[in-house]
Amino acid sequence: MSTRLHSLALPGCPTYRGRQDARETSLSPRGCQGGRDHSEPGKPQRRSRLQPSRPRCASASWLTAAAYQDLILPNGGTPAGTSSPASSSSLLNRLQLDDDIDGETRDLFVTVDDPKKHVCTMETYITYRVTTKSTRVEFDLPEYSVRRRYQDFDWLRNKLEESQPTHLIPPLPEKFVVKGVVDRFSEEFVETRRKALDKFLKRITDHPVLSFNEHFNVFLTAKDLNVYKKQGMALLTRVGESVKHVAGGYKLRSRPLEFAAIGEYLDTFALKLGTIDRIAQRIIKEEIEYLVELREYGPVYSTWSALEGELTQPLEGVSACIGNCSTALEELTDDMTEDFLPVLREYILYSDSMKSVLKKRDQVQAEYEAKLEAVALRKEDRPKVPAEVEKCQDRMECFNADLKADMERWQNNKRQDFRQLLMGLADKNIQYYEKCLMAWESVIPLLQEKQEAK
Amino acid sequence: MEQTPPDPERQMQPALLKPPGHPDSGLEAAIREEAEGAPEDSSGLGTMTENNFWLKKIEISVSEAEKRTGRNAMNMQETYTAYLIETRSVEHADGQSVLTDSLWRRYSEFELLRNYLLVYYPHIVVPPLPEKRAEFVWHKLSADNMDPDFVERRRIGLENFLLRVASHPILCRDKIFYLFLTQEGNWKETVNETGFQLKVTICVNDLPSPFMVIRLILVVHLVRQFMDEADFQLLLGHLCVLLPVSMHFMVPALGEEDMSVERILQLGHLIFQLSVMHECAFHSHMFLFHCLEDLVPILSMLIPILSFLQYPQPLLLPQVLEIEAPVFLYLDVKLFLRVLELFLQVEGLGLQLLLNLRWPCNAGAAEAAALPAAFSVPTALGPTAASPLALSPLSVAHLLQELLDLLLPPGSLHPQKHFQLLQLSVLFLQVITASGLFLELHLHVIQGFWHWQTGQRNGSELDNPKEVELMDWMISRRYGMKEKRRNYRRFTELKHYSDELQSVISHLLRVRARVADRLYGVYKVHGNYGRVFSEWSAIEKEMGDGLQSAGHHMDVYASSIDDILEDEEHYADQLKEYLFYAEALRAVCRKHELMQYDLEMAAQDLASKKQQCEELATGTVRTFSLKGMTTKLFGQETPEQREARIKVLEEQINEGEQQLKSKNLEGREFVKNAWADIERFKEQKNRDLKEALISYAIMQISMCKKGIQVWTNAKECFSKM
Repeated sequence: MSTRLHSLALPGCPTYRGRQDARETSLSPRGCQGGRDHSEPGKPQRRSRLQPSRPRCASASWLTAAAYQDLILPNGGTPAGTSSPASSSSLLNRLQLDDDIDGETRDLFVTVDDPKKHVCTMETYITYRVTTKSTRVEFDLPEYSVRRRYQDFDWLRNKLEESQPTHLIPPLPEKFVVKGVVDRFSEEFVETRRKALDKFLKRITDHPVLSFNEHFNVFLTAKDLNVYKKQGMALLTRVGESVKHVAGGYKLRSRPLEFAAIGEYLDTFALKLGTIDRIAQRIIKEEIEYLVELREYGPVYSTWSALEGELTQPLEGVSACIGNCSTALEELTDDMTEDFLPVLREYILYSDSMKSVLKKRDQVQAEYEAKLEAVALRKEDRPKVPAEVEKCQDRMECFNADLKADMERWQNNKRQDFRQLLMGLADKNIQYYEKCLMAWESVIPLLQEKQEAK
Repeated sequence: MEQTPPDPERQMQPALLKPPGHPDSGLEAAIREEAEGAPEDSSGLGTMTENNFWLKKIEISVSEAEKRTGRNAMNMQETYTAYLIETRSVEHADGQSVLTDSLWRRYSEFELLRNYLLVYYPHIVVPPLPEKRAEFVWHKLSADNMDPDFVERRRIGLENFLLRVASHPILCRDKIFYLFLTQEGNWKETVNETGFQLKVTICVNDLPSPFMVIRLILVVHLVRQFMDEADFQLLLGHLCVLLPVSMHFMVPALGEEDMSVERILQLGHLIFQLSVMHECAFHSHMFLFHCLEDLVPILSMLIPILSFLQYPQPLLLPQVLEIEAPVFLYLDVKLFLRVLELFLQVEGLGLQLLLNLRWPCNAGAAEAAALPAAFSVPTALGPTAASPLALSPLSVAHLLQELLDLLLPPGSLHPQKHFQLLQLSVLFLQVITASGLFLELHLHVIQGFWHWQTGQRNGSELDNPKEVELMDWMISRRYGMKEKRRNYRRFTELKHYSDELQSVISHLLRVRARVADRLYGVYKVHGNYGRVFSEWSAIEKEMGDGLQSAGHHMDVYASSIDDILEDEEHYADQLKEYLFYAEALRAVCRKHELMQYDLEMAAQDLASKKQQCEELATGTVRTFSLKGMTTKLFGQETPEQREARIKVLEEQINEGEQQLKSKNLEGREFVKNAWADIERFKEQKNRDLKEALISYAIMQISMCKKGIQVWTNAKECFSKM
């Protein structure tokens, strides 16, 4: 899949970029504006323009978990703990802004809910309701509600990857659960997937470029997505063929240091996250086994209490207490499975999509270098650098800028998310221990009182 | 021990001076104290001051453990752990002379002490020793006997044992116990001088399984050829310690050049008694299988002797061997049948000798053909017969009936054989009853027997109303007396309770070990977070520090479980003590049953003697008895002979009456004292277990607090990210 996408990006470039530019200029108040042709000065400008949107998006994604209404409240500002001066100042601005501007900051709200099972003769699948509320002009109506299935999300992601190759596209949940035989129609599975899909759309919504993508718009609004899907297929094959020969064959001379660092970082990051995921799963497994034993342990005290006279109450107390502890433990493991693991998984997938974007970038650079080399060979013949090569260089630098911005955004999101995630983990554990503590503390008087009475 | 407090010394004397063979010398020592106006509370319901009788004067501690190597009785190299016992006299409050004394003891000596106490104080719930081998451990703990942690826990357990004995109102006055604490050398000899091993009628606690005994005997027999006399005696001495009970019977048999028929018979008796009494033997299928293996040699040992006596060629061996194809479900039934078979043969042999009668050869052959069929019956009974104790009352009754039917085919009824069988069955019932295990069951057997009787009576000319009388008498004897019944019920309940307690605690301990295992897993896996976080932190700029220190907290979290579980082990030890206490409690119950049985046997004996006397006096045989039968068979004696026999009988009757009286008294005393001690035990148990539960709860609380602490710290680190 990735090779196809890489090759796609190249020839489609001019037309698609023009489209993007137009969209960005007309729709986004601070979208990247044209100016791609004068390469050198354009880049920093574009970056700086993109930047302000970053913290906002970060905070918005932080807010996605909360309900709409909370958005207006300044508690959305909690992630202000970020150290970058740009983000903190912009946050400060944001906090001072009135509701209007706040509304403008977030003018698109998407939620995924209400999964439904469809049983046809050919297949059985789940659809999810995708509700969109927006004030943006591209939306004719203020509110849309459509039903989409996983395949549609997959289509959307492919389209996004196709049309915005320079950007980091959020990952979809895995198509099939990797771990053994899981019922794809079980409530837990559907709910986990719904959450992941919701997260996916929210991340796109929060992205300053991706949220204006036409395919995204179609996905949110079209009554029948299949029409668009077919069109896309035709285009895909046509473009794909013309591109094939360009790709491959060129070796990258040297990856710029910063992208090499990102690549390395991503490798390690994915590795560590994988380990954490395994550990978390193992812990859950151990905890579940522990729970099983506890469930047996408590009743033994009950059995014993039936034998005793004076000791009946204390033993019953201990038994009940162990029962409470096991309930608390069950809650803990449930929380871990529902809240902790999916986030880890998302980030593992994220690192994959990041890597594929990096690869595409490398390809663009390779193309540029190849062209440059070719020109260098013919330099004596033609002294001036052809516009084609210049364009190519421009494209590469554009790519670099987009990627860096996305990367930075992603890093920020990641930090917020993990902070929240790990704090949640700690909180859950603390809650568990507190519940156990309460249970055991309540037993003590039962034991002591009896003894004094004696 | 010049500093010995005079008080205990005086009171201890009687216990020591009691002649061996008297079952309750310790008890009587206590009673004497009462008579002397010594502290009133000798019955066991001690007041606090009384409980601290010794503790007030002497502090006891087991302060050290040391690994040693030495040679044991069999001159074999062995490694053991010795424990340092320190005693300190604090008798004078003014701190005049504080004497510290210390000596080394090893675990086997503790065991010897406890065995001695068990024998001498049958009515007391003797505190248990800590486990010999680590049981109910979770995987991380090693089961090695030399493991420092295990030795340490055992040290605590042994100290606890000594403190419990010392704080017991009766046990603490024991001379042997005192010497155990104070006299290093010669203590074993002193214990052996008390002859407590010989004194045992049957003290069932810690009884080795009968089959282990058999195996040991065989081993000893083999070893004997390669040992000189002195070593052999040493070995026997060692075995005496190991098997205080059975050796009473075994040792004489082993000392002889050849095992005489009588010895074999004795052995047979013993095996049967032990097998019936040792309930544990019936619990585990696997164990039973091994038992059967053990049974084969003893049976093969019996066969030549039996054939020598022209007893119908036993059919046991092939049967036993067949069982090796393991039908575990029915195994316990089968085992019982083997033992029964053996018993029948041995017992029959005994009767044969007694009556000097030979079974007709053709009957023997018929019997030989019939027996296997009879024994296959319970197998056909199916799953009902395979329940844990395997022998439902009905199946035994049924079995017995079948057996008797087969042995006694209608038409070929021979009166002598009939008597023989009847007597045999009565004996059988008595032995079964003696076990206590089948106390409930035997009524059914009697009923079954009764049915058989009435059935037989219709088809036979032998119609003796005395047989019916005999049955009635047996039934009434067993269930007649109200007081006994009440005691019987009390003790049965207690026994039931101790069984249940044992099973519930062992279950609890097993589950706890698993819980600990899992908890350990949960904590230790968290430790991996520590590693990954710190590795991860290396590639993160802003999050790095937070992750690094959070990882550190995770490490702390993972390692905290070691201490937690170590503490929990202490709780498990406390529970284990009561697990073993349950066994001690059961020993008292068993002792009660055995005494009851003794008493009844004596009464029965007396009654039959009275009857004989009467018969002789009046010259009529009115009752069914073997003696009467022999008289009938071998003709009347002369009047002189009769006079002489009457005289002898009368003497025996007098003696028997005396004995019965003393046994009655003894029984009543036993019940009283045992009950008092049981009450004391219950109180102690409630107190101890409550404390244990409280400390367990406190432990859990501190664990929770630790957990909260660690996670709060970790959260703080995360929040800085």
